[in-house]
Amino acid sequence: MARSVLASNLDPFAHLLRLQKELQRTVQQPLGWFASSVVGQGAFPPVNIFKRDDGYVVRMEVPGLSSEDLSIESQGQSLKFSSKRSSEGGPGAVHRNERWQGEFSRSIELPRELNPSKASADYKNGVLSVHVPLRDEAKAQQITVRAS
Amino acid sequence: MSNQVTVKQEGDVAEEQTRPGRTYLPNVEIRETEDALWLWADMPGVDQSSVDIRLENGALSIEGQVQTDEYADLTPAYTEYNVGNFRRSFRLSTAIDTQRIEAKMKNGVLELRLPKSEEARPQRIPITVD
Repeated sequence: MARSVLASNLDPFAHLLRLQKELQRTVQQPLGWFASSVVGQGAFPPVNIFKRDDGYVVRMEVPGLSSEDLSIESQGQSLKFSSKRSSEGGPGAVHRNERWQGEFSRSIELPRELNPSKASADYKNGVLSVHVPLRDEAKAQQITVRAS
Repeated sequence: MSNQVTVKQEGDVAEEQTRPGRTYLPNVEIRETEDALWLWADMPGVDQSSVDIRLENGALSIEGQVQTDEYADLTPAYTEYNVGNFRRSFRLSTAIDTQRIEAKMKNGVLELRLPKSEEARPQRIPITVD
């Protein structure tokens, strides 16, 4: 069921509401390979995985990192993310400190049809998006029919 | 694994919005120095142009709209978190010099410097000896 979230020209609020509903639906019913594999609800940082025509996009909300401190490694079918973040610090009395700090590391196992060694990553507004392309052999191939 | 894991918290509905949908509370760090209050708020997915900061009658409110166009052509396959706009407000106990508030947004973190007004700064009181 390849239904794009942004299929129609909805206004931003309607679009956000639709996105929230779609995300809620896949919390309960992950698609395809993810439905049968334990990926790791409750691990930190939480991830969302999206399907795109040419592969998958793994996304996580990790604001306030510097890209030098962000490491992504591929090994076999898995991708490992690690980074760290410290308190803003500085002088003064702390009133509240709710923001996470410290190091994290998380590995995600991906389906066989993907090639994690060809992944590319982008960090924007504190959101990390990693695009993992399909393996060549997993891409749709046109098979020519020869008339005999 | 981080030693301080914080899960995204949904905002309460004490003040209902006219638009439906989930809104989240940004996690904050707040510090006070002699001359200012500093606030950092995690608002991943929000860019500089989509932040709204207001200070009215001693109440500071911050709001950030997420960029939904980042989700074009994507179909959710597996979900561990939901997305939504961020909104939170605080009642300030200190008078702020509203003309000199500084705000910047970097990598999804809002940094606010709220300078205290002249009257609100600590004053050293000289003691005269007879």
